[in-house]
Amino acid sequence: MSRLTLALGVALLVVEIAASAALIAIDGRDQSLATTGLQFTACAAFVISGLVALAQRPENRTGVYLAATGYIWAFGVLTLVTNEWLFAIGFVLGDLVWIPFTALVLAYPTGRFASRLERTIPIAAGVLVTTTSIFKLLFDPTPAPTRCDDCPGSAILVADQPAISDTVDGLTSVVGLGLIALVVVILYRRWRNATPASRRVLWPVLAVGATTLLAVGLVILADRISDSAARFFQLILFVSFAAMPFAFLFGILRTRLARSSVSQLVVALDRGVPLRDALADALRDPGLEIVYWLDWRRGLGGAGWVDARGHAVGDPASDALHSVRFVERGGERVAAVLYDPALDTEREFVDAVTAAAGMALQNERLQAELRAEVNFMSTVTNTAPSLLVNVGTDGRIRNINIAALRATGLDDEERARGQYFWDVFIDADEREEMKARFHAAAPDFPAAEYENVFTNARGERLVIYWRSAPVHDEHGNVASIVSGGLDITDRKRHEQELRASRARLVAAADEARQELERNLHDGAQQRLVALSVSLRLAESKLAEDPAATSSILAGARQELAQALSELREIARGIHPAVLTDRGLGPAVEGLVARAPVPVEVDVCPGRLPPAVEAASYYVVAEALTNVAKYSNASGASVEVTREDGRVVIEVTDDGSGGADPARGSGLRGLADRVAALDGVLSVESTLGQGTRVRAEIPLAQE
Amino acid sequence: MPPTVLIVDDHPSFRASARAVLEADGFEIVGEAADGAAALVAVAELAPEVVLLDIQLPDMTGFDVCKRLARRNGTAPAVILVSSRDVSDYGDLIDDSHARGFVPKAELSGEAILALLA
Repeated sequence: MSRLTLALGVALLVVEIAASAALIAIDGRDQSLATTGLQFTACAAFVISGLVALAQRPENRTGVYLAATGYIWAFGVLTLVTNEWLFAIGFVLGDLVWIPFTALVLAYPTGRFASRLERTIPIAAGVLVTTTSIFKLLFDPTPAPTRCDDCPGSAILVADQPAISDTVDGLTSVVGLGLIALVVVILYRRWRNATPASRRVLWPVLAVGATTLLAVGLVILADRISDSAARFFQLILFVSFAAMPFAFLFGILRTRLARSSVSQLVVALDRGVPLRDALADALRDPGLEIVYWLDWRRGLGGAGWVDARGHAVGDPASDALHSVRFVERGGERVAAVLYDPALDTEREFVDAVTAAAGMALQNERLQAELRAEVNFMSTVTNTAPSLLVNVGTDGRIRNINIAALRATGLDDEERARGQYFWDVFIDADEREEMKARFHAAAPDFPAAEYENVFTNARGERLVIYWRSAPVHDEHGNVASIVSGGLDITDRKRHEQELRASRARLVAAADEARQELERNLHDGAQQRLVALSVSLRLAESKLAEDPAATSSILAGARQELAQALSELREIARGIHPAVLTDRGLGPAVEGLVARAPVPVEVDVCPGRLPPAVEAASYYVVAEALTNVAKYSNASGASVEVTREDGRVVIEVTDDGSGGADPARGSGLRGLADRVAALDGVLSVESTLGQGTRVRAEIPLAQE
Repeated sequence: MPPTVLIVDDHPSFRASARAVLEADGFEIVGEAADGAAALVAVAELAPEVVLLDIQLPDMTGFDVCKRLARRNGTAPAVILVSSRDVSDYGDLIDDSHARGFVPKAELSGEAILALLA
């Protein structure tokens, strides 16, 4: 708003007041000068404060409403003249003051109406008061509100029928009271829903506005009861109405006073008050929030906003509950302050406060960035399955991740932190050696790797493969040593089991060959030797003793038959031809046929992969051999089924039980054979309850 | 006069065959033993001139028995080692032993023994 407009506004007021004053001086009624002076002062207050507000915030229409109230109210003094026509003009125009006044109260402090209803209320008020005034002028010969003897009559009286205007007055009074009640309710609700910062701005104008409107209502009611009561409330109405510009100015003054909090903010920041609290305090907005802009949020993906703790937050611009003040430094986006929208009327104040906090905001952003980084790193380290330990140059644990903590067997990070790593990760008998190695590595602590076997706090034996490297400070000295470890306990155990199992398989194969050699040597070979000797003997006796020769040959044939039978048995032991030719079912039938006790057989039909078939066959063969040798059973059963992609072999007997699978190489060898096919062999053998050998072999290999 | 013989072997079928063959060739079989310990006792008691000694015995090897017999006081019998295995299976063991010689079991005959004793 230009100075010219301001000057014109003031000039208009001066002209209006001067003209009215002149009219009053010429044609005024008794005692009208004192009242006029008072009213002019009040009008001037409205106009001047309105013009000042308009100059400050041209876009805010509260200034217009204030000034309009002043200009229009000044016409009201015309009712103090004796001229009927001037009186009628003042009578009608003066009451129009309620239009800008209600607009001011409803649109304060933004100058905008919150709803269509609120926009309609000032117009309705205008229509209402104009209707009343005009009916009074048309039908009431003494339209002046207060009974007075020298008041002029109506200039446009059409009929002396005050009953008509009284009826209209009654009706509009009722509607007016309803309108007042509605406005008061709106104001009350606005107050109730307002934030603390908002209330600070609202209360002077709202309080004065509500008081004025309630006084209007009381005047309307009292008017019908007693003159003195009506005068009293009229006085209150006048005082409170005239107080409005001051209430308005008081609000502005409070804003001005709040500016001192900028210096308080600087002092608070200097004292180390947390930035958000200091800002919230300075702006008197306890719900204030600050978010920081990071060009690169590791782990959160790309640029974006984080809170002071480094956690990702949404775009502050899309926050519906707050207004946003973006903070930039050196053309670079730094932070955003989210504050109560009520503070929007004091934008310069918000600007001043955030500007004062600029450096602190930048520092805080760096902190937030660091925290975001730390959050990310801590998520990474605690998610990693590897053990991660940071050890000081004194050998004490500084940081430890979840995997490493788990390995220590301690449940609490605090119990691990500060301990010497050798007390946690090294067995007692190796501790001194490790300490010596650690101290020998000082001060460079070169990168190293080693395997470490220890028993943790829970008594679990662990094998860890460690790699460590020094972390240097800004002077190039080693600040700490970071060690990453892999828990290879399971791998080691599997390796060990595998080695043992392979060794057993090799030993079993060697043993089987030795046994085969022994069987051949002791059995068939001996028989063939004997046969050879017998034949030589027969040959030498052939001429002199044919009868003896015949008997020797008969013996030799018997020997030969036995040798053949033994060779067959051995060949079957090496690998049963029936298994290769006809499969597991017939092969098991063969085993069962040679068993010394009755055996029930149920073998699923069809062929299996050769390795599975052979393993299954030997499970049945070994189990039936054990039944024959040790069980004293009277019967047994063999069941081979296919289910869920695996073969299940079960051999049970009703014998004495008590077989120990750990003893005896037969079952152990079987277990290895089954394990080589990823299968499992189990033996249940409770004393007196028979034995159940069960093997499960997956069919997935082939 | 054919020599007296002690047969040492853990297989009864071989002992029987050997006895039949050697007796047929005129040897006098003075006794049989099924293991090394029994063989040592039998030699002390029967004092055979020849011991037909199987190399693979359940309690000790024929070489061990041979060594012990050589260490005895008095005259040691002539030891003929026998086996159903081939001579090459034993490498230098037979040459290094105190035995008079080796006969594969399948080729056993009085003739073979006499040849080694000569």
